[in-house]
Amino acid sequence: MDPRRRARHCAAIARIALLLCASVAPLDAQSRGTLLVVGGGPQPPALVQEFVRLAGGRDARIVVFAMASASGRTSGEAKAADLRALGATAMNAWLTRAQAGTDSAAHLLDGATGIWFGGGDQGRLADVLRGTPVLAAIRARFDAGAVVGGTSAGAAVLSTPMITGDERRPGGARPPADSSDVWLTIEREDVVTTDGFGFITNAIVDQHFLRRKRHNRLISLVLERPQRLGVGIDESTALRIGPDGIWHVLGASAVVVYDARAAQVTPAGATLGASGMRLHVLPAGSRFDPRDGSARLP
Amino acid sequence: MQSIVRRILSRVALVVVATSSLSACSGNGGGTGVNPDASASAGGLIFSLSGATATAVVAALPAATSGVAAPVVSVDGLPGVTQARTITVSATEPFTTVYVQPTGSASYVRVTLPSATTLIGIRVLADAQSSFVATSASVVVANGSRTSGASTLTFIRLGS
Repeated sequence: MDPRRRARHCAAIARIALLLCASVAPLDAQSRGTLLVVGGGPQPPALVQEFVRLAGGRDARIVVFAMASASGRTSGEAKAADLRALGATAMNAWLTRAQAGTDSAAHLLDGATGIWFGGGDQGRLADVLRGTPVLAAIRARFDAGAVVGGTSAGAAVLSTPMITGDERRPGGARPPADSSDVWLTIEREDVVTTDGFGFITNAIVDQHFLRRKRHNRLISLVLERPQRLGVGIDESTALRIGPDGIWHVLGASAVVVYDARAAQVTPAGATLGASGMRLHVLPAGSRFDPRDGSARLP
Repeated sequence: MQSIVRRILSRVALVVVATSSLSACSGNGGGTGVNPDASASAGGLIFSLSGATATAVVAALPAATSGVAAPVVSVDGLPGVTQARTITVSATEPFTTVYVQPTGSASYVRVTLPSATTLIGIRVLADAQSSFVATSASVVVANGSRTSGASTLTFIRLGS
């Protein structure tokens, strides 16, 4: 083979290998932290206790960020009080974007063993923290072994891409009379996403999943990005992801996983469709390995 | 490890400051002896440091020297008229002067220390007489002609 062709060939293989590695890597290799991703709704006490346990129990030092909600100053205080009742040291940090850009705000994370993102609108939370020293400090604590958790919007924001909650064409060619009818179709370019905080990059997180019947939007996204898994977490349910990258389901309901990595997907321009996409419905107690797609039910 | 050391040092600074006496009066700088009551105000905030040689309000920073690391700054809450908060300033290089510029103010509060240190705690109160109270500030430390970069500080209400 011509040396230049061989070099191009090798480079192409290397790029493909890198892409494959990136697509299956659960988290950055150097991260020692744990994620607790809660699908919203009422949180069973066991999930709250699990978060405190992961943060160090009575030695836990937790910082709550509740800016996703307009009433987050109050709800964040309540969450911090709940965590303190379990023996943790916890404070609510209610920040504006300008404040999140300061060095002293980043130092609020010094020594933190747990970071909690409350629910609301993930866009609000992302707008405040994305690209700031505070988010960099959160990431540093996570890499050092802290637990990062969130519920509802606080769960959605953990992944990149992040589902914003907006839909471009509700109902597709047949818009519904009732504007509350959403996610009626599986189609391309319908689900709006943006960058989240990037703690999860091999999967797209959806929340309130079973109770709000969000299958269509997550399937649409997964088929548009088949290298990523879709993980729909139901209410009162959590996904725990440790440094080993294995997913564990906790709580009261189930987590749905869509895996189209080996599926045949219709090409761009054609109606969105696929054959061979795998579906897992994982109740609490299940274990899932995102690298090979293997699941173990309880 | 660095973080743990910083936390311990911060607490030491808080204790030192908390056990020092505080008496607010106008500082005009220029003194040569230790002034136990040094304070100065800018941006609706009153800064004081027991044991400071002097405090003053100045219009500009000294000429910056590149390569000096910005200090690590933190504050333990939102200062009130009667509730003082402590700004902790630490740096890897010893410093003898601290400059604090509240956001929205054209002036700097200059605090001169009796000897070089790598850690201090400055108390801050909201000025009841001011119609504007800054919610953030930048902090620079200096030693002689050597001046650091600025670190940013925000005063927030923390639920604890």
